[in-house]
Amino acid sequence: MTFRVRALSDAGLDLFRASLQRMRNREISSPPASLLTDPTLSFSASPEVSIETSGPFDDKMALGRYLTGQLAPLFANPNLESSVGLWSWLAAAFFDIICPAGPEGRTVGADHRYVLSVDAREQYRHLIRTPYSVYSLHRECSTALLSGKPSTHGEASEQILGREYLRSNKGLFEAIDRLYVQRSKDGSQVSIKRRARDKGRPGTMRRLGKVLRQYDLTFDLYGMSGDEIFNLLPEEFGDFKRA
Amino acid sequence: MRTFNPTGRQKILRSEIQLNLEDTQGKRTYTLSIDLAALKSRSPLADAAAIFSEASSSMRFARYAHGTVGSPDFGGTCSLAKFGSMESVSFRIKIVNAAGKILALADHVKPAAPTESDGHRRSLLPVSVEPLEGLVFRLDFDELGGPKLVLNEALESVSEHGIKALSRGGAFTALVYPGVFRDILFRILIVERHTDDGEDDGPAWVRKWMGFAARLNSEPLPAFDEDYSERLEWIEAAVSQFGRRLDAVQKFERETAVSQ
Repeated sequence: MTFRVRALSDAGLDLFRASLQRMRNREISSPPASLLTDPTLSFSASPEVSIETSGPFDDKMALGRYLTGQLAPLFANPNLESSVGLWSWLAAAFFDIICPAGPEGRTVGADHRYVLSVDAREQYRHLIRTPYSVYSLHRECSTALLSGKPSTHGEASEQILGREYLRSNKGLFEAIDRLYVQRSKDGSQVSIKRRARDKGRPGTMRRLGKVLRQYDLTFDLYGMSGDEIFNLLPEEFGDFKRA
Repeated sequence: MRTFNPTGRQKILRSEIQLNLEDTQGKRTYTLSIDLAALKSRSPLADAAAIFSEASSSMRFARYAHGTVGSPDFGGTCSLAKFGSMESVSFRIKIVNAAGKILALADHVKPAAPTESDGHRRSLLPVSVEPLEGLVFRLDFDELGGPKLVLNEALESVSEHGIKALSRGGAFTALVYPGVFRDILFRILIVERHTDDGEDDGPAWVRKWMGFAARLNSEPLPAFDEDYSERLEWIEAAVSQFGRRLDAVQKFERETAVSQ
């Protein structure tokens, strides 16, 4: 469906939060459609921007790429990037993408996945804003971290995006791309290297997040290029470096 | 508790950092200075080591160079134009050697309160101590200078730990600041009947507080009416959002939790 982008009012935010709880309780199956258009629950964002919510959005990368292109006019005003009402309205609009209904209904996560938290330490867990913000900063170098389904946050994302000084580091994202992403020569085929997302193995994306948290306090990662960070990583990452 | 720091990295103490936000006609900047003499007196630093400050929010990042330890440059202002709200911006100060290793670091630095650049530097809510008969605190209003939070100088927590320790404490923050914010908005919007029609924006402190409130409540400010219930609702919505931003309930719960 196509919508003109709006922002939830305080009443809309309250209703959205309440509806998330009612979905967890299996009292309702979807957020009220009125959230998206009722002027008592939301108001128009300016300048006028439209979105198409049906996709397809196979992964967070596709969602981030779409949102970055579509929402660009709005973010000439940087205050909107922290607008709780705007991001929460977008989450309601894309709810079928970020919280799809399975055979047993929807699995609704914590509120901050859908309603943008005012706590900066939780904002990176928002399922709409994070694909947008990561893609808008790092473009195609976001591939590894945005490779999962739009409904998931992921442990690697938690480790790396949870630290604000890593999130915005362009060199670091270049190193991650070089480490975990493989592309065909003509660039038409992009995939994540085998076992990069495994759990409990050395050198994986999960491990990288933990290693980087230590390195970030020891090395001036922001002052380093992608190659310098790539070369700094220890031997446990050797298999992915050589793959 | 003693801790072991295997990296040899030095901590830059908050008392050695002066980081001030400035807001000049909507253009936000910051200035930085570091007491390098104090820092070096605790541990030597190579003169060639470079000084950087980094501003970061959940979606934005900026980094500025401030010369070297031997030849620091704290004269410039650093733009924060690409940041939206300042509420979630934190700063980091690094001193780095030529190999990219961090020699000294201050993480999660919060700046001093926003100031005006007209020479009359004031925080949004100045705090002072005075004798207060039977009260923990009082909110004073100065018509031109705006509100001021006054703490009772007889409070043991103030005399032992200072104003900042009490005024930034979890329970104090949770209980006092939302109420103070409500009182300030009541004063501006109900008592003073401030309007935002652009003709009379009032004194600077009113503009600053209304700017702050507008970031918390995006609904248009209702016009003043003798039955001012709509304005009271607007105030309550802003105060409620302020409480959420402060994480007031969690702060209060954490500080008043009974040990098991």
